[in-house]
Amino acid sequence: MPNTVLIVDDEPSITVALMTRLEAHGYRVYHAINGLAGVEAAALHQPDAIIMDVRMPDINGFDAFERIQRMPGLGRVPIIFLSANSQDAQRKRADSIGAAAFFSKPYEPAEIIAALESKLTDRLTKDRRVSHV
Amino acid sequence: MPSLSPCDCLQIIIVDDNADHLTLMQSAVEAAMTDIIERIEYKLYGSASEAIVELPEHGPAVVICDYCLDNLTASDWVPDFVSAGIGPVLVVSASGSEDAAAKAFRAGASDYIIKSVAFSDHALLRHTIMEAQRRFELNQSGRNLTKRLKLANAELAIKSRILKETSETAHRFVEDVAHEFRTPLAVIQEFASIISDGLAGPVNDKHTEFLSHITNATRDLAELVDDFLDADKLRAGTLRVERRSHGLNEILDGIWPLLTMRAKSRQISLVRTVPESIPLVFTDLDKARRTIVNLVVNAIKFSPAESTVSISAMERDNSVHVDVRDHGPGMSQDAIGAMFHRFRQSNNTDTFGAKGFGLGLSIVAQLVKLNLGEVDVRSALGEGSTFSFTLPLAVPTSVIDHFLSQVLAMEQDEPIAAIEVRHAAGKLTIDDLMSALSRVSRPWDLVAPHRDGVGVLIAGSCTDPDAWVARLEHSDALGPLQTSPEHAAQLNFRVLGSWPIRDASTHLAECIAQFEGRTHAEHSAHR
Repeated sequence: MPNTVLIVDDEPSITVALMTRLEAHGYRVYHAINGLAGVEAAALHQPDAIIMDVRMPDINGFDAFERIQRMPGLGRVPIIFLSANSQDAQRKRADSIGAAAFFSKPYEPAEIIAALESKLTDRLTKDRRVSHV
Repeated sequence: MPSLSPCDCLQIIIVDDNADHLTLMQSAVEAAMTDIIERIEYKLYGSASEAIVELPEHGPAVVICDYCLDNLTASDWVPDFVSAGIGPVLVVSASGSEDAAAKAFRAGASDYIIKSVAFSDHALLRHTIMEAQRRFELNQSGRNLTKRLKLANAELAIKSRILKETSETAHRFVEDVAHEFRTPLAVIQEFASIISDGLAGPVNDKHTEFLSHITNATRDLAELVDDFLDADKLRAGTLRVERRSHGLNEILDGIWPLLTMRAKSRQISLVRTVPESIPLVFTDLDKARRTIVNLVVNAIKFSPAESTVSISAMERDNSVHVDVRDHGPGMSQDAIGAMFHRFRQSNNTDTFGAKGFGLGLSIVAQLVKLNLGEVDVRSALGEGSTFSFTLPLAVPTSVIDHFLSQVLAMEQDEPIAAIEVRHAAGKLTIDDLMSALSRVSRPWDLVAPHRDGVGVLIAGSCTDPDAWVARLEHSDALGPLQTSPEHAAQLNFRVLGSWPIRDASTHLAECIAQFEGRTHAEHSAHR
């Protein structure tokens, strides 16, 4: 079964571009257009990874992720933040809430795929280890 | 009376419940003030309450009041006369006592005299009235000045708030514009990349080549957005500095993937020659990385395809020198001169974005300065360019040397450095000074024109025996500190050394050692 990724971004062009690329790499992609819709979509689809914008019209990406982390089955879901802000403060906030990666826009598409693949592999290995125990 | 202008009339208000004393006091004043007798107006009252109700609206006036009136004493009614603000209040008493005088003064009276003395010694009465009047006017003008100062301060505070708000709005605008630029840039870059990667159908070589132009231009624009943000912060002086010891390879490792990708997209090879043995440098990591990224991106931009951009580093003269070399068209000596002229003025941020030199290089000059280093360019037409910058070694003498040489390089009437190192644990050490130097972001904050040197004052603060202060101050180039030992003593500083700037770093270290020794000796002696 393909890995599933949830994209949460209020800019449709970014969502379409990311979907095109991720689907070409064999991922199954869901998307949401704002923070709260992202929280609902995460609960519904239980994605293997999330790619989320930081600045969104309702709640910001950090707050949305903190809500997602508290939901059953999503406590360890890897998240990649995309931000139009390159400032250190946002990068540090992302680190502090346990983000897998933080990229400022415009991002290098290859870097996103690489980060996604490495996190999903990590998680798979850890899950296997847990199931052996 | 000196304080009375020719057209002014002085009102003498006499209050006494003894009618004889009222008449006697009026006669005494007339005898004492013969020179202005025609310009004095008398008002006589038998009770304080009556006098208070009928007080004139304006001065000048002198109130002469009996100590005991209406079964009350001066402390009950003097404040009412004083608060009317028309003139001084003199309290007179039939029998003088220290207690009564003290009460009168506490209530706000200007002076206190015994009636028998006032009635007989006219010279003394005259002196008392004039002196009280003089002090009253001094107080009044003091109050007026204070009022005007308060008003001016309030106006300044309003202007400063408006300026601050305007400046904050401008910064927010720059940040918002940067933010709004990034998302469309990401969209352009991502779709160019999707097409180029064949995810939207077959592409031929021409497509790939043209799409790479789009991608490169998008990256350039994204870097320009970063430069705008940095320039804005540099201009506002809000870029914080956190200098620590770092290895050059550690600095490069963090940006190497980005740099190689940028080079690859223009068919440039990137070569890195940094010996493992190179000593640690004292620098702000992010700013050192931004400096290198800007220089390498600039080198890539001017390099022909299939050429090499090399980054090398070596230790020389108490510093690490980082070189970024390209094989681009190079610059004429005139162009280098013009560029350096602008670099030297780079404190003056009007040069940001100077045409032909790019925002990136201006920012490099500023960032290197923040990192206590210097920028250099070697170039010749047709032979490429080498941009270099220095970073201080992570040892005190090198850091202090670099810091002081920046201070020295400033023009005479330019603002100059002042650093203060405070240490609460009893001793000031080189580590404390290094720790202070790790955070000095604008060493030119203190304006002190017409001085041309720097000395170092190491001092202990007498107000807090456990806090020692080192202070970098001006001195004449070959003379003593501007702060004289006497002035330093007034400021609770003890001067331990001053010297010409030339060898200040060595001397500073010696001076601190000497200071530590002396402190130790003093502590032992006390015991």
